[in-house]
Amino acid sequence: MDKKTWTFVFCALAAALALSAFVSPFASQLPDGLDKFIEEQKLQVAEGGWPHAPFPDYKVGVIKSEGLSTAVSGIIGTLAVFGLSFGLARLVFRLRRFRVPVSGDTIPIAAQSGHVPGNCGRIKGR
Amino acid sequence: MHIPDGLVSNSVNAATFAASFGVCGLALLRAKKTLGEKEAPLLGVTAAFIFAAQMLNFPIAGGTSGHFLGSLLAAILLGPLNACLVMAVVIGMQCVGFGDGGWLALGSNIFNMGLVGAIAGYAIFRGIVAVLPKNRGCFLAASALASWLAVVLASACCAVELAVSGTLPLRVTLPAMVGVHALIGVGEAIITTAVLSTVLAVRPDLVCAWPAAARMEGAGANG
Repeated sequence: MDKKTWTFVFCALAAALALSAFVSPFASQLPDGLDKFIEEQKLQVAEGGWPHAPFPDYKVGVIKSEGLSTAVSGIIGTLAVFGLSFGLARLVFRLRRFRVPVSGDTIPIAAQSGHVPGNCGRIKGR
Repeated sequence: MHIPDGLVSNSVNAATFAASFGVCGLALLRAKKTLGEKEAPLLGVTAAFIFAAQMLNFPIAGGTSGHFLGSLLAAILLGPLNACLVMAVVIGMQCVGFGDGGWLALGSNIFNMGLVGAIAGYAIFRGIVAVLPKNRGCFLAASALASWLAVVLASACCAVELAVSGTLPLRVTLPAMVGVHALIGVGEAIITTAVLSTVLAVRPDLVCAWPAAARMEGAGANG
C-alpha cells in the first residue's frame, strides 16, 4: 500500500480523534429525535442498554469530570472501532489471499477473483 | 435514533436482526472476493470517523438534538455493502461498549441507521447522479439530497417498527418521527457534503462512487 494513502488514513483518523476528544464534550445534551418522542409520548423503555457495557452513556466511571470522561470514552471508542473494522477487513483480505489454489492454476488468485482495486465491491465483468 | 429496549417487539427485533445479519454476511462474502489491500485501512478510518461524528449531537428546534448517521457517506466512500459492515461495527460498538441503544434492539438499529442509508439511500443517490449532469457540483448535490432522504427513510422505518410492535399507531409515530428527522437530515446533508468535498479535493480516487459517476459519461447510465 502506498505512502500517500497511509498519510490520508492517518490524517482522517487524527481528525476523528480530535472530534471525539475536543468536540464531543461540547455536544448538545438535549434528547435526540427519538428520545424526545419517547418523552413526549411517555413511553416505557428499559434504561441503559447492554448491562455489561464498560462505558455506559459514553462515560468512563473512574473519571469524575464529565467533559474529560466523555472525551476519553470517545477516544477509546474511536480507536476500538478503527481497530475492529480494519482488523475485520484485513482478515477478510487475508482469507482471500490464502485460498487453496486449484490444480493447474496459472494465474494469481487475486486475478482469478476478478478483483479490481477500489471497485466498490463490484466484480469485474458483471 | 438509537432504539432502546422495550420499545420494539421481540418479533420485529428478530426480523430486523435476521435482515441485518444476512446483509452483513453477504457483504463479508462479497468483500472476500473484492476487497483490496488499500481498502482495509479505509474501512477502519471511515468507521472511526462515523463513530466520532455520531457523538456530536447538534441542537435543532424545540429542545431536541440530532446526530450524524453517516450510512450514505460510507456507501459513497466504500460501496454499499462495505458500508453495511462499517455501520454494523459502529452501531455494535455503541451498543456493547457504550450502552447506546438497546441490545435486543441492535438488529433494528443496524437496519435503520445502517442498511437503510447504505442500500436504499445509495440506490437513490445513484438514481439522482444518473439524471443530473456529470460534474462535481451535481455529485455533491445528489449526496446532500440522498443523505437527507436516508435520515428521513431511517426515521420512517423506526416509526413503522414502533407501529408494527403495537407501541403506538402509525398515524402518531410516522409524522412525529419524519417531522423531526426532516430537520436532523439537514445536518446530515451538510456534514456528508462537507466531508465528501474535502475527500474529493485531496484524494478523489478514494471516493468509490466518484469514478463510477465519471465512468457513466462514456458508458451510459449502467456504468
